[in-house]
Amino acid sequence: MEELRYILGGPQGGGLETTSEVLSWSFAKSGYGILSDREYFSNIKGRHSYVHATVSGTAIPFHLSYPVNLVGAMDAETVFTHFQEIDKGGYLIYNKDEDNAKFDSIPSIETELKMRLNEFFKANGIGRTLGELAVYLAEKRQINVVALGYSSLLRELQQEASVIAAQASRYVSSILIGSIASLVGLDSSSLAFGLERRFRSGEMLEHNKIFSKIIARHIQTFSYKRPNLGKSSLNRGKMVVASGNDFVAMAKLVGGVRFQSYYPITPAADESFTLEKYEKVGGDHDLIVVFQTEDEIAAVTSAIGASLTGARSASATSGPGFDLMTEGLGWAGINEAPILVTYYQRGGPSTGQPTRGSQSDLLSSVFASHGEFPRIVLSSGDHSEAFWDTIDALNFAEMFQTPVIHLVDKFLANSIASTPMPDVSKIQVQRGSLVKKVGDEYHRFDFSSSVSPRAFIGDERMWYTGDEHNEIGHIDEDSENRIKMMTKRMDKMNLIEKNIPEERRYALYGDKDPEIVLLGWGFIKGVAIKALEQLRNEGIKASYFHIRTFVPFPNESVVSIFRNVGPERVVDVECNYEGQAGVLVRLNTGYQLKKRIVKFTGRPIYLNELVEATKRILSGSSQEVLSLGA
Amino acid sequence: MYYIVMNMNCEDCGRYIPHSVYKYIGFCEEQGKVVFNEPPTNCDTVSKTTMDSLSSVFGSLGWVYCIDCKAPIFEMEEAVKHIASHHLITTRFMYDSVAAEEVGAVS
Amino acid sequence: MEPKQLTAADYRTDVWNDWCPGCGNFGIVAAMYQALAEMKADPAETVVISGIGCSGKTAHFVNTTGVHTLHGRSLPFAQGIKLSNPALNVLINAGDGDLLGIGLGHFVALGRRNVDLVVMMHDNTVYALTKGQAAPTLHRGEKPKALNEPNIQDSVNPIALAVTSGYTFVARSYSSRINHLKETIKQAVRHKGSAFIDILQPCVTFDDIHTYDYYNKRVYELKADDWNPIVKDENEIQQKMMQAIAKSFEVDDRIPLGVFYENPLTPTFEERLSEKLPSYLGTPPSREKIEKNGKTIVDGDKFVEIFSQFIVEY
Ligand SMILES: Cc1ncc(C[n+]2csc(CCOP(=O)(O)OP(=O)(O)O)c2C)c(N)n1
Ligand code: SF4
Ligand SMILES: [Mg+2]
Ligand SMILES: [Zn+2]
Repeated sequence: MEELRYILGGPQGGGLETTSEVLSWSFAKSGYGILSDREYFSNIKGRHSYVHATVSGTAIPFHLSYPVNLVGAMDAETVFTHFQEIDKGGYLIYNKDEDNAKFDSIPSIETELKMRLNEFFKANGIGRTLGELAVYLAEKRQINVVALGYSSLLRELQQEASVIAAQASRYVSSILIGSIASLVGLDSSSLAFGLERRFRSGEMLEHNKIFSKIIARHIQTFSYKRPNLGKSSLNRGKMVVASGNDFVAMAKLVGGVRFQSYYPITPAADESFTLEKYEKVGGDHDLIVVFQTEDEIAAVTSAIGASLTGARSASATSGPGFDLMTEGLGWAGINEAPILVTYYQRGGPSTGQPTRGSQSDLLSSVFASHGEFPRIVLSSGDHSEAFWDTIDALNFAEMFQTPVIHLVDKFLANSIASTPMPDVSKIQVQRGSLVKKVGDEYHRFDFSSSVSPRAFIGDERMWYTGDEHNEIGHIDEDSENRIKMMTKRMDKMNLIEKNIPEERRYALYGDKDPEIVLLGWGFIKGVAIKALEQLRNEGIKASYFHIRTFVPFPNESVVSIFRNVGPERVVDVECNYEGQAGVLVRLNTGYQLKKRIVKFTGRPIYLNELVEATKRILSGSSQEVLSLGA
Repeated sequence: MYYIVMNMNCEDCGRYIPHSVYKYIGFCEEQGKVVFNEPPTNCDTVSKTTMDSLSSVFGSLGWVYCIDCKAPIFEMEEAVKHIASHHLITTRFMYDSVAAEEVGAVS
Repeated sequence: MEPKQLTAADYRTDVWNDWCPGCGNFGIVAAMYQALAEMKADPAETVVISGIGCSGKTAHFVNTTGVHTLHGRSLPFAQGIKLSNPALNVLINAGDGDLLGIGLGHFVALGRRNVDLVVMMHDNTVYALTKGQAAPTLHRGEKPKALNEPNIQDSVNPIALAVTSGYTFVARSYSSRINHLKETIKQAVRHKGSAFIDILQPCVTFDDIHTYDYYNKRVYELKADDWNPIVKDENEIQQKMMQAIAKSFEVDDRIPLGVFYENPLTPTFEERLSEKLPSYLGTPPSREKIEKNGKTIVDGDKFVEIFSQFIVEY
């Protein structure tokens, strides 16, 4: 098989993170590319959550798709939730001790799903229990059911090792790890590597090694044909396996951020956690202060304060926090203060779907804050882009002395991907127009250029104010001064237009002479590129236009796409309701996108649904609203 | 050491409490009534601003205000210059209960 | 460093001071000019940070670096500045609405951190720059000029709030006791940790209750012979706090001026940071070298070393 797609499910807090992490590391170590997305409720313990992953030995995957080849269930709810997603000939690993569990008596299953299950079970003449469902799947759906008695496995382990009571749930993770490793034939040294990454050393590690052998013995008793990923043909070398949050954090550290402020919010906080873990960036003298503030207003304003003293500074947040930051953003704008806000989009409005993904804050970031001031808005499509966009964002902020908003979506932020090591020697740190020791004649907002001479607080005496000001930084409401100062500031947009080349603003993938062009941004990238491949296999020539910067906007290239293929053949693909990038396309180029594929359930767009929707658009549909995913 | 006031109008008198914007309007503490910067024909108790009283003001309040320059003054030497130019220096203002209503929306 | 000794006048900018004639704020800047001169403050290393309000303009009137921020947000701006360059001398001028209304969350948060800076609150009981609405310092039942009816919200007790939030230097002064105010500012600057000064400041335009006369009749200075606010031993903290809080309820006929609470023992935020980041005070974030010839200081090998937890070799 070209790729292995799996879902691992279990109750929140029940060890899923461990299962997923160990498997990711193990697959990566044995040479496979992996993308692993975590979907969860806004809940700490008990609700259903799952990991959806793609593993491939032929290309690094950046897409997820249904149906999957394997579902590993830590509990009965996982089976009830995901059994329909297993492909014919696929595998289900589950706990047969729970065979008597009935879906309608599981409190955490949402009513809507219970109703759908009810209908399904009735229509197919299945009883309401897990056991009966398993039989149905094996007999009617040709699914290889790996029914394991989790408690007897654990008892077996206990005979060889004394189970650590306080970490008992970890052993349930081990059951899935062990059985998947054994089923797909992961070599034992890669598995050991994965386990060591997670557990370092000690008893837990030893127990897991013992346990995986016990489990392997049981798996051997199933005579099913094994899923065969084949040997990896990917290049050998160093890979970074990390979440989008971690990629951004790494980039901030090597890109020179020395002050990061934040207020906890999903899905942004993990970035600041990681930064804190590396607060001694590299040795005795390089450090970063990670400042946990009382709210996002304090987060953005303290980051601006730090920036005035010369520290490269940044903050990370999500929709509700960004809303609170908007007034501060304008202060940074009028005061030419470099600042980076990494904006992790989740489902809104309001608290919305706090743990789900979305691309619905594009317009908010382009238009946020009252008044007019220059800004830059970047957006990343995958982990590697997130890394390099962070580096660019930091440089842009200082080169143009203006706020930069870096859009990342939850899908990217929380999914773990393997990516080749970035070439660190290419990382530039451009600090812009700096001056030192000018003395009394120093004017922070000198009219001579649109980017002002920047000295750091502590080196010169200077003034800042959120009011309109003169060259010195004192309040000035004179009309002539206002015209000069506004023009000087807004002229940065021209400078930005000139200095961020068109090629930096977008990327185009796929057929040179397409029948249809998908236009998207953010995490759409991975699935769209993979869809092109599938469409081509089905004889459809398609391309994907990927927007990487919204301010400045890739006007020329968007216009030429519309001219070349015609407005009827450009399809807006976005994870929001309104088609926000489409709004900006129209605003910037005058072209109206007439077709669109949107998804706003908070789940990512999956390969199969994108391919199908594109085909429906080709046969005349003008709008497709996608809904796949539990 | 006395500072001798040259033009003897109300605004040169230490008992004249000026309006904060219109210096020719003030309150005469001596007579207990509003006066309009008249030559003090009706009064023979013109009190003079003394250097001593001025410096004690800088020691306690820290500032005096020049109505002509519409500015606070924070140093003695500076105040002396304004007085020499016949500016009206004060630390007290005639009570104005309606000024607040005349202020536009400012912020 | 400074060749010539600066006088109080040198700490005044020539920006036109447009506060109302007679405004209590005059006394506050006057005391700051004198305190800065006496402390020989370096204008480039001293930062006056203000919020929005009449009080907010202070940053433009003082000839050191000035940062006039947003309504209610002077404290987080100030902490960003101070924490990325702890060598700076940071003074904050905040309005009472600024600090205890819209910015109250920041006020409490600063106390918990004990960052080494000085917060001066212009306590004029009104939102002056928006024309005299009730500030959080206005007592219930009072009706300054701009209110149609007496205030029906209770006031906060700034001193008690500061003490319980964790400020380690808490004092009150009065804008027309310039020596007292100047000395209090100097003491607050010398104090290591978050210092709060509640400065009674008559607003001559909107507050016809708390006038100069009103305060002149009521204020008195706490004297060393019967008042000792200083914590000498960790065990004394609670008792000294209780004493300060009790004193802070004296507000009607007699209003105490002076230091209510002073605790030099609690570590500052900077000290807490340098405990886990030993190079912090020597090379703080603003002084870090982050590039070499336009490139990152982290090379490929160092990247692998730092982030080994994320790297796998196949
Ligand atoms: C977010 C926001 N809301 C409202 C305002 C309007 N505003 C300007 S000054 C002010 C109140 C000032 O009162 P205070 O903080 O006590 O300062 P004072 O003028 O009394 O010194 C307000 C509400 C603002 N600038 N920003
Ligand atoms: S309104 Fe009040 S606080 Fe504002 S300048 Fe006038 S007197 Fe001062
Ligand atoms: Mg006020
Ligand atoms: Zn004058």
